[in-house]
Formats: sequence, C-alpha cells, structure tokens
Amino acid sequence: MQLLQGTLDMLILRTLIFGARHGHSIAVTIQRTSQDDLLVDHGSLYPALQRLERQGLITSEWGTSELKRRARFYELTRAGRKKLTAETGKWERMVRAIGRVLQHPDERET
Amino acid sequence: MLWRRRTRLDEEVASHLAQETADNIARGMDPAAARSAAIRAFGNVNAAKEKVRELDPLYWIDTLCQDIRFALRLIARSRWLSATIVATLTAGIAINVSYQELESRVRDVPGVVHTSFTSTAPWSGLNPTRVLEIDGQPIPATRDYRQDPARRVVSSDYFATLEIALTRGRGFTHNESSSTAQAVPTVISEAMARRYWPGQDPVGHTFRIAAVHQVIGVCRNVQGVTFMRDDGPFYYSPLDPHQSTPPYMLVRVSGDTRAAAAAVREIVRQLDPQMAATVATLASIVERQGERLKPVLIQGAIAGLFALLLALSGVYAVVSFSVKPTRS
Repeated sequence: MQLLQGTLDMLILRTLIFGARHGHSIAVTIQRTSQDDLLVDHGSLYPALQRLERQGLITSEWGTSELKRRARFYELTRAGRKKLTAETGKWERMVRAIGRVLQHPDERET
Repeated sequence: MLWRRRTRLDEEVASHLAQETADNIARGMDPAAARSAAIRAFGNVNAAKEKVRELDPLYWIDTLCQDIRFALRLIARSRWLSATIVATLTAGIAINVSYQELESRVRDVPGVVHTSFTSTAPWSGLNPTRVLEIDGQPIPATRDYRQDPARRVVSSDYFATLEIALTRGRGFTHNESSSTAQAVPTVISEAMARRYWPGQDPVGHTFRIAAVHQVIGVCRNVQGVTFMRDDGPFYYSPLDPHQSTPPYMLVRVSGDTRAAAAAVREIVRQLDPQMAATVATLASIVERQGERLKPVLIQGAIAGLFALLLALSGVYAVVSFSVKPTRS
C-alpha cells in the first residue's frame, strides 16, 4: 500500500521519536512497523528529510551505520516533537471522523 | 552550498543502496541481484536529486547553469537541427493516405536522407505510463511521474532521422508492428535501462504496461521534452503499418531544406487537396521553445553584474583601509 499524500513527514517524525536514525533505517522502520502494509518510496524519502530539516523539525549529522559506512543520521528537534504531537492529534481526529462516516448506517432523506 | 548539498545527497544515496543491498543479501539474494533490486526499489535517483535541488534557495543558479549548457549545445548542433524538417499534418490524411505512401513519395525528393513518422512531437510534453511488471514480476507504483517512462510510437527510421544512436540491440524493421507480435518489440532509452535493469543488458527482457513489451534495443537519452535537461526513461514502440498516418513527419535533408520543405508540402497537397501541412525546420521549432531562455539569461546577467559590483566595492574598501595617507 502506498502512503497517503502528506503522511510521509508525520511518519518520519514518529520514527525518530526514539532516537537518531539514518534514511534507510527510517524507511525500513516504517515498513516493518506497519507490518509491510506501507511502502515508502525511497526516492521521496530524502527530499522529505531535507524539507523537514529546512523547517527545523529535524537535525542531521554524519555518523557510522551498522555496515560501518558513513551515513547521515537524523534527529527530532523540540519543534519537531511539538509538530508531531499536533499532527498526531489532527490525524486521530480525522480517522475518528472518517470512521464515523463509514460506519454510520445509511441515512435516507425524509 | 549547492555543491555541498549535492555531494551529501550522493553519499546518502550510496549509503542507502549499500544498506538495502546488504538487507537483500541477508534475505538470500545473490550480490548482483541484491544490488539491482536495491536500485530498483530506490527508483529514479536523478529524480530524487532533482527534488532535493528544487528545495534549495540557490536552485536558480543550478537551473541557469543547465540552461547555459543547453544553449551552448544547441549552438553546437544547430547544423543538425537545421537539416531536419518537421511536417505537421492536419487530421484527415489518415482517411485517404497511408503513411507508407506518403513516406515513399517524400523519400524520392532530392536531398531527403531519412523520413519517419511519430504520433507525438519529439519536443512535446511527457506522457508517462506506469510499468506494472518487470520480467513478469510486479513492481510497486512510483509517486513521482518523472520516474515513470514516457512513450513514443515511431516508424522504423525515427532513430536515424533524429540521429539517436542505438547503443545495444537493434531498431525496428519496416514491417515490425505493435499489433502482430505477442510482445511489443520496444526500444528503450539508456535512462530506462538503468532504471529497471541496472548493470544488466536489458535486450530480451520484458516489461508490462497494458501489453507486454520486449526490449529489442537501447538508444541514447535525448533532450526532447524539457529541452533543458536529459529526459527521463523513455520507450519507443513501432507504428502499426496498417495504422492511420500519424500527425508528425520528420524528414532529414542533406542540402537545400527550403526546397525539400516546399516539395513535402506539394506532395501532401497532391495526395489530398484537403490536407494542409505546416512545414518547419527543427531548428526553428527549438528556437521558439528556447524563447524562455531569454528571461533566465537576463536574470543571470543582472545577478552577475550585481556580484561584480559587490566584489569591486569590497576590494575598494579593503584597499582604502590598508593604504595609509602619506600626508596629514
């Protein structure tokens, strides 16, 4: 399943909540956590990371990956945490609202 | 700054591909297949780089450099562009005349070297199509249209007419058709080969869009759609010989292009008096397309002038500060 438009940023921020990760690890974590239901388009990941960094929601620095390769590690900033809290709240409200519409019995005009 | 960002992304992509390859090997793939699968999963690396570049406030400098490079290349190829004429046919010829008939008549015009037909103008916009399967294996959809290959339906001499070199395999024969073969014989661009069969010879491999296509050849990438940078993945399928005449006829001329253009117009008129053909050299079409270069070049010149003034004032300030007055 492809990610819904606009949700990649939120999922990246959520993935970084437990500490710094590099791009590949972020993609794999999203896929694994969703039990392979969500496919991250790897080509869209890096533009999204750089966009979030520009917005000050994450920071990055070079480090060494598990393969002993140089990799860029991304970390959540305070602004990023705030944004994640706000976005998660908004998302949950949206899901509840859509759920209510989908589960509502047919309404007939009287 | 722009260069640093580009290097950073190159390193990140390399690191990402190494990680993904290692994961694939751990899943039991052999190293070559693991690397290919990693590149395929990443998608079009150039499109990702382009997206990152677009985020940069100094992106316009990059664009300006590309535009200047393009303008220089155009100047270098102007003779070639002038030797190609394009006849745009109005609808209707399809009913009365087959494109083979038109083609054979135009070939007899003195100075005509190659003639070909295409359903889409070489300079027109992208019409990307989604690849569903590679060699029978389903592949995930991309979210960026620039990663999907665009299609051109062309007659056999298209590559010779536009001097698009084939780097592997072969082009189309005169009788090759999309409708008779089980798999559509298809020529792909190098960008498409890199995208779906990285590090492999794609000839003989298949992909599915609506129909199944079999790669028979690979050609060089062309600058057609944007006129500014290399187009993304492309694939070319053969025109059906029984199909109606496509709207664009490309004619490669050696010698007097004006006389050849007049002759082409006359042939079209003779075949169908109701028919009209707009005939122009590819050079003039490209020039019209290139009109948008002007504001960019002016913008670049103004920025350059401003930078020069700043530099001069800086030099003046440093010199004034360091030179002591000889008299009080």
